Amino acid sequence: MRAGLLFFCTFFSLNCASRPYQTTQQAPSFDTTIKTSIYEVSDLSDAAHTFLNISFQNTGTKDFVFNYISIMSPTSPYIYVNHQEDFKVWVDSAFRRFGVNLINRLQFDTVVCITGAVLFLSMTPYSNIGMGLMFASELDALGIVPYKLRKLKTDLTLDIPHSTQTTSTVSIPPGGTAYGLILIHTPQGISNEVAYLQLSTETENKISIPFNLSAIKRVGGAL
Amino acid sequence: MKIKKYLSLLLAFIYLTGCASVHNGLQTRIDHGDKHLILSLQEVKDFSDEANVFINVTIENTGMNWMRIKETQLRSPHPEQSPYNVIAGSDLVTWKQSLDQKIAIREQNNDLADALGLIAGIALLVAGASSKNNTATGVGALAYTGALAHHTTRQIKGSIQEAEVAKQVPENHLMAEFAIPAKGFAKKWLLINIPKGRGQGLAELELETLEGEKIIFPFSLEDLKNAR
Repeated sequence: MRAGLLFFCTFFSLNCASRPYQTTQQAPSFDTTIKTSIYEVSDLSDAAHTFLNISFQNTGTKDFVFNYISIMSPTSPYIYVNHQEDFKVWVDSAFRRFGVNLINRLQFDTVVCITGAVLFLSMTPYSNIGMGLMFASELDALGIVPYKLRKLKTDLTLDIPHSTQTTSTVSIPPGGTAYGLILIHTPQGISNEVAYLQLSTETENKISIPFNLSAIKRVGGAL
Repeated sequence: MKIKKYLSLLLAFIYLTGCASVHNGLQTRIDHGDKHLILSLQEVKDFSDEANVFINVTIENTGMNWMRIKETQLRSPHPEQSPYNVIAGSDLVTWKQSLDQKIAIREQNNDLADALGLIAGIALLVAGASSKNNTATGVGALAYTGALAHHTTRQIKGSIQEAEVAKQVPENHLMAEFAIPAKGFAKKWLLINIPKGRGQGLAELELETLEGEKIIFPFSLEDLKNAR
C-alpha cells in the first residue's frame, strides 16, 4: 500500500512534457498568426547559460517564412551565442557534465539496491527498510531516470538551424510547427526584464515576441 | 542466508569503483585577472604504457565569460634536457591504431574470463546443491559472484572512463585551438613519450588566450604519474 502510494507520488511529481510559456501573436507583416512556446531545457542549462527550446506554430492560413532568429534585450546584457562552433562546444561540455551526474546517480541506485537486498535478507527488523530501499532505487533507476532521458530527447528537437547568421529559409505551412534550440549566454545572470525573440526575413519583415526570461526559467529539474 | 555475504561482496566491488568526477589527478585553481580556471592533469593508465603517457587534461572555466585558447604548449624549464617528447602528427594515428588493438584484445580476454567464471560458478552451484555438497555450492556461489562483480565493475569503470576522459580525436588534442564555455569545461588529451631513465623532471603547461594572456601550470612528471 505504502509502496504503491510512493510510486504514484513520484510519478505525479515529475514534470509532464508540456510547453509552459505560450503566446499567440498576429504577424501582420507575414500575413499570419504565430503561436510561440518557449521553455528552458533545465537539465542542460548552467549558471552562465540558458538553453531554450522554442517552437513556432503557424495558426494562420498562409505559409510563415523567415530567415533569421535572434534574441534582443533593450537593457540586459544577454548575449545570444550565435556561432555554430560555440554551440557545439557548449553542448559537448553540458552533456559531459550531465553524463557524469547520470553515471553517479545510477551507481548510487545500484549501491542502494544491493544494500537494500542485504538488509531485506537479514531477517531482522531492518528487513522492511531493506525492501523500501530496493523499491525506491529500482523506481529511480528504471522509472525516473529513463523518463527524464526520454523527456530530454524530446526537448532537444531541432528543425531550425542554430544560428542568427543562417541564410537557410525556415518555412512553416499553415497548421505546422517548427522546433529549435537557442543558447543564451547571460554573464551577469538573469534579470527580471523583458526580452524579445525576433524573427525576420531577408526583406526586413520582422516579428518580435516578448517574453520574460526569468519567468521561464524552471526551478529544479536537473538530473 | 549466505546469499547476504555474496551480495555484500558485490556491493564492496561496486563501492571500490568510485564515482565519476570532472577532475582527477593533479589539480590546481588559477585566478588570473577575470579568468578563473580549475585545471587538472591525469595520466590514464589504461591508455598508457612504460614509454608513452596519455594525459587527460581538464580545463574548467568557473568564470562567467567564455575563454578562447589560441595556443597551448608543454614545455620543459630546461629544453636541452627535456625529460619527454610530445608525440604529434602521423605518430598519433599509429599509436591510436595500436591502442585500439590492445583494448580489443584486453576486452575480449576479460569477457571470456567473466563468461567462464559465471558458467563454472553456476555449474558448481547446481552440482553442489544437487549432491548436497556445501563446499562445492559455496565455491560455485563465490565464483559466480566474483565473475559478476568483475563484469559489473568493468562496465561501471568503462562508463566512468567514457565520461571522464577526452575522446582521442584530433579536435580534442590539447594543441588544437579551443574554447571553454563559461561555467563549462573542456576535456583535452595529450600523448608524451618518456624515454627510459628520464621519468623525472619538471614540465610547464602554458595556455595562451586569444587576448594574449598566458596561463602557466608547472608540474612534475613524477607527481603526475603518482596522482590519482
